[in-house]
Amino acid sequence: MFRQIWVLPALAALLLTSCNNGGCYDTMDVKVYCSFYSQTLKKAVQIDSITVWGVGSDSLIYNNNSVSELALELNPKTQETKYVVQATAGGYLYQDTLTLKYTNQPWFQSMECGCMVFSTLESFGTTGTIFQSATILNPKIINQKIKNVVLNI
Amino acid sequence: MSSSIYKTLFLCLILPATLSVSATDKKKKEDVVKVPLYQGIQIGFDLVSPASYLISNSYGAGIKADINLWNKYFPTVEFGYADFDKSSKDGINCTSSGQYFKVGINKALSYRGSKAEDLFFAGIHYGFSSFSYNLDNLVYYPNYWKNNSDITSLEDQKAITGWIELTAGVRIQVHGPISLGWTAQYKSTMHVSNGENSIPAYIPGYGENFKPKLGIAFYLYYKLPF
Repeated sequence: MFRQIWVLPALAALLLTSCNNGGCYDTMDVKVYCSFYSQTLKKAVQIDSITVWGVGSDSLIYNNNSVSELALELNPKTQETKYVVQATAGGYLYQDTLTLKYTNQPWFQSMECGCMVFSTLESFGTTGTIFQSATILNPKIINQKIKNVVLNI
Repeated sequence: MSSSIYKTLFLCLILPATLSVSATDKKKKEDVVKVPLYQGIQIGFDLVSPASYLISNSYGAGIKADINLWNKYFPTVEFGYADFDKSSKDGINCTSSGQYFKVGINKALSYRGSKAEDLFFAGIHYGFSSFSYNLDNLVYYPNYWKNNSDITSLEDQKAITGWIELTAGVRIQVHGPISLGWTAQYKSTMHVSNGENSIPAYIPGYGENFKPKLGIAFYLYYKLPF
């Protein structure tokens, strides 16, 4: 009788083994989220036709998009990343360079998802053409969508 | 062959019922003869963890003890050690080692024998583990700056975890003081203190770190002669 009783857990063990599905279900995007604030209008605003690319990269993050926030990824190999922002207003082209300085911390998420790099923002500079200044709200850059920076227009 | 399968399924399904009937009969007798408080101690040895070394680089050992009170309640403690050496399909390697401790209680749902030699039970347990682990061959998740070629390691990460286990199982007397049994487990972590730079991938006594989690354990039991 005993031998038969053991069949049930053996089948269950087999089922449990076959049901183990690997896969990464966590968010692995680590970005600096920057919203826009008009000091004249005293409210959050959207910028039309904005183009953004990283200094040293040949690909665009935004290409003539209409956006209310920027989501920027930091270079995990360095402690400084620069982005060029171009915007058109009244027929004129304006260009600003954003300089982000930070420290890095590697973070292992899981066997399925692997490793990413979290950062802590030390400073956020602008050249003053489009954005007058930047205010860091939350310096921790992790895999959650949190408003990190407000860019003042 | 079909007869054998039929018998097997029949016995698997009918076991709790037969034990229940037996327990009902027993209960009638108990109306007359009161079961004493102390009914013995059983020591259980985890059969799966040591054997897992045969098919992987991971291994462990666990021992537990339960006290039979009134043939109804079985307070249980368990100690163990686990050593994981696992690799993901992407080549990430995790080595982890540490002790674990579990404490809880099982309740007899039905039993047979004057000292519940054959037992069908359910219970609740709390598990705790403090351990360290290393992560090697880590590749950064690619982003705009395309740095996924970098490989790094995270050494000597330390974590403390606690989890809850809901269990149900069977223990059957094989010969004299020797019994065999299995326990199905529904586990869920209650608290996990992460390592400095990581979430632990494997937890001794719990297994892979996700929740909820189902498991099954097999034990060889020895009943102490007092």
